[in-house]
Amino acid sequence: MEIRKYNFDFFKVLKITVTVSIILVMIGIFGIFMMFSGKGVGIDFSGGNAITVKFREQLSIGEIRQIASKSGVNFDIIHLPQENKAIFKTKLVEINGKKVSDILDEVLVRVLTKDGYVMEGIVEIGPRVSSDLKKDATIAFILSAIGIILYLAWRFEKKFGIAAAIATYHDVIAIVGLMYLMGYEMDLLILTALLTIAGYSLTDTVVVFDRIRENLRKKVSTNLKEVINISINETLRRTIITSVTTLFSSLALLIFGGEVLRSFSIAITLGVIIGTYSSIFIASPLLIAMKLDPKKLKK
Amino acid sequence: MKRLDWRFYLIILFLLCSIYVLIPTVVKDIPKNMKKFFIVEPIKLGLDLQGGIHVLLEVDTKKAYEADLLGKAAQIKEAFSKKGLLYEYVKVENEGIVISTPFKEKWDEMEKIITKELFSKVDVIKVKEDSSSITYRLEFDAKVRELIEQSAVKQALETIRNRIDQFGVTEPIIHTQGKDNIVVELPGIKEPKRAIELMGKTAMLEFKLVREDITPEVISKGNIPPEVELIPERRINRETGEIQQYTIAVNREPLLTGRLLQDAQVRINNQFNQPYVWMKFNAEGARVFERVTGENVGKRMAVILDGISYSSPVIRDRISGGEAVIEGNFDHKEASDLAIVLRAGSLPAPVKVIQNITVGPTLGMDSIKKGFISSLMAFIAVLVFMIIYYKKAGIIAISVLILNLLYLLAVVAAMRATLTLPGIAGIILMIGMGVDSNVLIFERIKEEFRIGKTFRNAIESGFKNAFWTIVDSHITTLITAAILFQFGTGPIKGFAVTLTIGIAINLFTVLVGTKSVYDYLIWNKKITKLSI
Repeated sequence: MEIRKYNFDFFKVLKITVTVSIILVMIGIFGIFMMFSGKGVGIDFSGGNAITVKFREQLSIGEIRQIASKSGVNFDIIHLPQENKAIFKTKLVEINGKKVSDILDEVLVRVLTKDGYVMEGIVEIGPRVSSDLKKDATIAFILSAIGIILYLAWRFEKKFGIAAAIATYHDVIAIVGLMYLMGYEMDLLILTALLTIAGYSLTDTVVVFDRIRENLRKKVSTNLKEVINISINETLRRTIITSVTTLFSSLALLIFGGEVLRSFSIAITLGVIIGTYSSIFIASPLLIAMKLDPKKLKK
Repeated sequence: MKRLDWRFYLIILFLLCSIYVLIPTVVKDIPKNMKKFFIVEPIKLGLDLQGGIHVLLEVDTKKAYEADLLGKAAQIKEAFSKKGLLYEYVKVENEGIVISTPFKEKWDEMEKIITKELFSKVDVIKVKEDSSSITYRLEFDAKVRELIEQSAVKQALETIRNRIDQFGVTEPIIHTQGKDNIVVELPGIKEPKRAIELMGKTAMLEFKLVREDITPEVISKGNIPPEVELIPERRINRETGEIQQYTIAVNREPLLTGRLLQDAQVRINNQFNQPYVWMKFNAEGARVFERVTGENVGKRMAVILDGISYSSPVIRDRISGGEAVIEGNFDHKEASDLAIVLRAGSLPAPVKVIQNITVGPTLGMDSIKKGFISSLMAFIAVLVFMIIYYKKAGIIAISVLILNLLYLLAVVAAMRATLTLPGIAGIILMIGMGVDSNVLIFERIKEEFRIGKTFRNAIESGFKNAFWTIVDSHITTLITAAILFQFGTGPIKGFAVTLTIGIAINLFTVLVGTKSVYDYLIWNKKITKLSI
């Protein structure tokens, strides 16, 4: 039975990790700010059209662009050559009362004839739907934070709750920023990914916190910093193994899940990495920063 | 705990139940005589997986209210006329009714009719008074308005349901959402565009008198009397089949509307082999039709649908029997859809499509296939890793994972919850995350060994110590999932359901399943060593 004990001093690299996190969060806040001003959001939040077309004959991206340009609508085109498909995206819902999907349909019929293509999917979202969605998503995020803090305050101590909530939202904000930088637009799927990440990161943090609490009770050391370091080391193997198996899932989705789930899988993959990082380097040091008093711990 | 205890049997019982519940999902053609043994239907797939349309319609309730005010204005005019009260005008303006009369001394009597006889909950505000006339404005209570808007949405829903039923769709889902939205979900529909057009058509049919005295010269001078409006007319050149647009002047007040229609059907014009729509009025409609045609012989009457005139024939004689036609350059589908909407009745107000998600059947199949391959790959990777790393204990973890997945799918099927693409993605993630609780337990047991505990003690305290960690981490995640469920819509809600069920099941299988397997191995097989 192989038993190895880890003994890293995680506080040694604290300066670096704090810097990294501040940069990540700043990018994230910038991304969120841009989103609320309407940039970098997908049609779920801005309103618009995403139309998936399958062609009968192989078309190059140049040819597709040329056909699309005849519609007079400025489409963003995602070309999927293996499947012989293209996704046409635009923030417009209609032009002079005419639906964008109908405009594209007319152009395609003219150029490719009726049998030359199939409009496989249309997502058309009006501006009011998207603004309702934005409101609901914001409420859900705020309430989740309150729920987490309350539960952990009840089970542990309120500083644990606050630290866990901060670490969790650190991850969510960082992913928003990174996705924004990579040019992915915020949509329902990415939002779902963010919530999954929040859940994952929270589990990770709670596992470490649980060990800190246990070690504080056992009085492993009188030095809080040392207790935290020991706890992180003790749970490190579990943290790594779970990250690895979850990464298997997210990478399988990334490789085999197709275009529709691409942004989702990228967000989850990043989330697993950052979520693991934050429960070690962010959540636990925060307990010290907040001057956690071990005497206040609940039994 | 010396023998296989109740927990083990519970796990087996649930496993059997799950398999039973999932049989209709996996086996596509169950023989007819066997079908009655399976009470649970196959897992319900979301529109994004099985194909279909999800449309969100917004009812223009403002228009519905305006239409109601127009009706009220007409009521007022009628009451005034009956009493011989003269007025300059009664019109709808800015969501209120404005009345002006030169006979100031008669106003008290007029007001009494309005507030005592006709309506309650109405505010009468004086707008203007000068030497020649007096003007009042009527504003109705917000509650009155709300009621009218609500009934408009309800009526629109019924009308749309009617149209969809006549169009022939299996298992349509039609319900209201919020104050003025209607959700229509049509799974597996072949002609999505046609269905959407069918739902969205107001289908307001009106017969109006053409004002031939309003010539193009009068129009160009802009001398159009207030009771007249200009509308477009579609005329078809029979030889070329071309559609030309004209402008005609008609009276605002219709002679007759589609409200009194009894039936509408597609007929074929033998001469031109063109489909047209034949309409029949009910008894009351036929009487009105006969009277108005009799009164207007020699004049032209426009047949108007949603503000566009389709023809404006000259009335040659009084028309009895209550039949009329709409001709246009329709193809057969267009004509049959028009007949459907006329039969189902008009919408009380225009509706607008504010969200349309159309998924073709091939796209959905594609997503299912990709989801399946991804989950298989994720499963194999996790399986190989766990067995290499944890050896025999890895097999326990994988067995628990399989239980998790089976239970999850069974609960989804039994609850008739909808499986969507994000839901499948959630399940795939569960493959990776689901072994976490077992990893926690294994690692804890290893630690207990390290501090020198015996095999049995190590397992016991490993479980005890990991227990609250597992509970805490699951409950915090459950909190976020529950909030998601509360505030999420559509696909997010579907995801939240899968997530919530998944967490709860995971908690159960680990705390009951893994534990009972270990207990069994320790107590029954007298195992003193297990590779972890």
